[in-house]
This record gives sequence, structure tokens and C-alpha cells, in this order.
Amino acid sequence: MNTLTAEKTDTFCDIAAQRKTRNESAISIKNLNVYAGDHHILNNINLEIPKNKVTVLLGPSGCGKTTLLKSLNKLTDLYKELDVSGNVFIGADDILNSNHNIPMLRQKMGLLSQKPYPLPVSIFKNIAYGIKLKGVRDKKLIAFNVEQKLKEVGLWYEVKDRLHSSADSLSIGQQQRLCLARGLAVKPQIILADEPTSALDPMSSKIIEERFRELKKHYTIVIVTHILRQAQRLADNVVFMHYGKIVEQGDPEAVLKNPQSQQLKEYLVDGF
Amino acid sequence: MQKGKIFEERIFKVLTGAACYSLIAILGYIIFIIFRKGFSSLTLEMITQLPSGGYYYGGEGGVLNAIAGSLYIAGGATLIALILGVPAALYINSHLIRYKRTQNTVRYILDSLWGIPSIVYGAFGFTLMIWLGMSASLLAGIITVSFLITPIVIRSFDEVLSTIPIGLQEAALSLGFTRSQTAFKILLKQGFSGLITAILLAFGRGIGDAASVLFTAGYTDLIPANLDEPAATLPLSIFFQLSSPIPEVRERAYAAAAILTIIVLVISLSARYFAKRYSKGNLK
Repeated sequence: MNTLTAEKTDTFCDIAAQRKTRNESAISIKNLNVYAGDHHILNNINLEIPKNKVTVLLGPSGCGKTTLLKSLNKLTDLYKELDVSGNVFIGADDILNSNHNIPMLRQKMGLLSQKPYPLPVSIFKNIAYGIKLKGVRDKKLIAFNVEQKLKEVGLWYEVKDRLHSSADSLSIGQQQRLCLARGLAVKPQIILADEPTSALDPMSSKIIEERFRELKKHYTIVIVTHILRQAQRLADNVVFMHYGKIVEQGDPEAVLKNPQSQQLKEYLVDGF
Repeated sequence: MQKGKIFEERIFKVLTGAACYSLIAILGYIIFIIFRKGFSSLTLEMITQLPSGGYYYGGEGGVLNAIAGSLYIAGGATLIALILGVPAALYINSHLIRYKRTQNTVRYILDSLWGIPSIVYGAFGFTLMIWLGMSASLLAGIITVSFLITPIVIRSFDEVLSTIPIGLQEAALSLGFTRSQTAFKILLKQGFSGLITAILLAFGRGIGDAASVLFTAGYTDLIPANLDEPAATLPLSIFFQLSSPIPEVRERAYAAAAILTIIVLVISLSARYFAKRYSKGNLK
């Protein structure tokens, strides 16, 4: 047995520090590479997504933000052209390399896409389906949950008299809130949002943003946005991407007010 | 310049409109001829009675045998086509979604099957029938027609399923649905009106096809009571009557054609009605 040298102590401290960050991170991305044919969409991404914080992914169009978001819950499966390698740890499970129960891992993450896609069923069933998938059979409990989730996204009073009409009858803004409620109903730990307000009117956008601010107390949120002001309002952690690489990341104050890289400087100038 | 454009626009409007309306006019003319020629023979007797012994020489009776036979064959074949076709179309649009090349190959093969003339299916069904030691029967007819219409069910349902945005599948998967649950609960629901159209197309093709049942279903003046009995069909009934030298019998051929047309129309309209009713919750 070697004695503990100063160097070794340092290593131990490093490991301890890493452990600490790992404990605090909800998602841990290691060496994530995504190719579409010859095109290297994501280039060796290593990223820790902090727990119960809002992480905003920023970057010009086509820089790989959405692909990164889709890799997190393995929706890349739907796209033939994407060749994904690396690890994405959700807690202890590596979603990219685990063969067991991908649906269960996906339930840990609610998805809010750019355009709302309510399921082709009633407003009530949109939320109830997810709860049923969790194994809940008690009708009263399901109804209670539906009401609670609709209240949580501020939709209850708008729809309580037409819960059984088609979700398609709602406005886009309402649909997006319904999709958020639907996602929350499966009790995720993480919310993935891909430009969730870009198709919405200002009022609905405001409501969604307000919800996010509320939700971050209990959920880890990863949000892709093009709106820099939204990033400033929401972010606890900013990740700036450029051509598939993470260029800068950290505290929004530091990253947005004092950009280090030329790419981010240019992006911020164009964006404001 | 501007004037030229307006003139050009007018010409195109007239030409495209003419192409469209002339087709409708042709359809109208066909229906008109069938009904005018067959009208006097289109009696209650035609649809409620079996042909008597001398029917094909102008004797008493109707074509109930052919109506029943056609409905049995087309109905049975559509059922088989649905049982095979719906899962296949869902598979193409869920599990195969990642494999574009396989998807395209499967679609190409199905399109080719769609394009094969029905007499070829008839010959194939006949060979199969002999090989299985069957005789011309309702069952052989159903099987042969189901070969003919299964590709139609798959491809026309598939066309509708393929227009469903991938975002809907992403939404379902991220809620924790499995691929198969997504296919059977979400895609099937969203594509339901497409499925109705598919059934309608398949049934219409099945009930109207003569060549595939020519060798396989046989012909009889009775309504088949069992799957192994031969069955008459409307297209063959029309063919036999139309080739008669007796004008009265030829007239009845037109009446039978009118009956066939009415059956297809009724099924088409009711299918549309049900498609509308059951796709209420669907996203537009």
C-alpha cells in the first residue's frame, strides 16, 4: 500500500468534487457524438445538467441544440440518419446504452416540442393516458390528477366544462399548456423543452414562462430557445453551442454579459 | 406583359377545369347509361329472388345469388385484408420509421402488387386452390380476392399514416408509450379516417372484380351456405347476361350493373359518415 501523497490527495479531492457535481446533476452527458451521414451534428459533448435548475441551450440554427435535446430521451431512435454514440446518464441509467425499459426512462422526462402535439383524443384523455401508463387504475385518482395538472398549468378554468371535447378545439397556446400538463402528469424529474414558445402568442408565451419559473423548484428544466431575452429571464445555466460543439457555458450573468468567444459575441450582437 | 399573364391564367383555368369536369361528366354518363338501360328491369324481384331455371333465357327470378355471393366474397376478403393490412401499415410507420430504405422497398413491392392485373391473381388463386385440393368455392374466392386487395388496404392506409407528423410519435414516446402502443393507440386513432378510405377502396375493388373470381369462386344459382360451396358474383352475372342474345336478359345485365353501382355508392357514403364520426378527436 502506498502512502497518501499530496498528489493522491488532490486526486481524491477531484473525485470527491466530481461526485458532488454528479450528485447535483440530473443529466450527465459523456462523449456524446451524433452523426448524420458524414455530417457531425454533435461533436463530443460533455455536459452536466444541474438538478432543479433551468439550463438554456443557445446557439444559431443548425448548431445541434434540438438534436442534443432529442438525444437526452433517445428520440433519436426515430431518425434513421442519426448515428448516436456516447452516454447520457439519467441518475444511474445510461439511456443510450440501456436496453431495459426505455419507455420508463423516457417517463422521467417530459417533452414540450416547438409545436404542440396533443394526442388525437379528448382533453381529459390526453392527460389520463400518461397516468394510466404509470399503472394508475383508480378512476377518481386519475380525475383528481387531471384536474390538478390542468390547474398547475393554468388551464383548468378554461377547459373544465369541455374536458371531453377534442384537444384539437383548443387554441395553440392552450394546446401547448395541455402538452405541459400531460408531460407533468407522468411525474417526470426533468422537462425538455424545444423552443416551447416560438409558435405561441405573447400572452401564452408569458404563461408558459411563468410556469417554468414555478416548475424549476421541483423539476430540472432543459430548454432550447432562440429568444435571448427569454434565456436571460429563465436561465440558471446557459450553454452556448456552435456547429455541434459547446463553446461556452455557465452562469447566465457571466456568459451573456461577458462572452469570451468570438462566436458568442457575434451571436449576441445579432440577437439583440 | 400583364395582359399576357392574365390571358395565360385564363387559358389554364379553362383547361384544368375542363379536364376535371369532363371526368365527372364521363362518370355521370356511365351511371346514366347503366340506369337508363337497366331501369325497366330494376325491380324488387331482381334483388330479392334467386334465378329460376329459365332465368338466363328471359324467365322469372332475380340476381340475389350474385348479390349475396359478391357481398360474402368482398366482405370476407376485406376482413382478411384488414387483419393483415392494418398491422402491416402500422409496422411500416412505427417500427420501420428509422429504416427508410426498407420502408421504401416495402412500399415499392406493395405498389407493384397493387398494379398486378387481377387475372394474374385469379390464375395464382386457381393454382393455389388446386394445390390445396380445393374446388371453386366461396373460400377460394375470398382468399384470391384478399390477395388482390390486401396491398390496397396497406398502401392506402399507409399513405395517410405517413402524413402524421413525427412530433406526435415523439410526444407519445416521451409520455412512456412503447412503439407498439404508439402505433395501436395513437397512429391508428389519428389515421382512422384513412383506414375507412382504405377499406372502402378495397371493398369496391373486391366486389367489382370479375377476373379473380372467374376460376376460383365458380358460379351457382344458389346462395352459398358454406365456405366450400361455389358462389356467384355480380360481375360474372353481368357478364353472362350481357353475352345473351335475348334483349330482355341483356337489359337485366344493366340492372345488375346498377345494383353493383348502388352497393358501392352506399358503402362509400356510409364509410365516409363513419370516418367523420370517429375522427372527431383527431388533429386537423
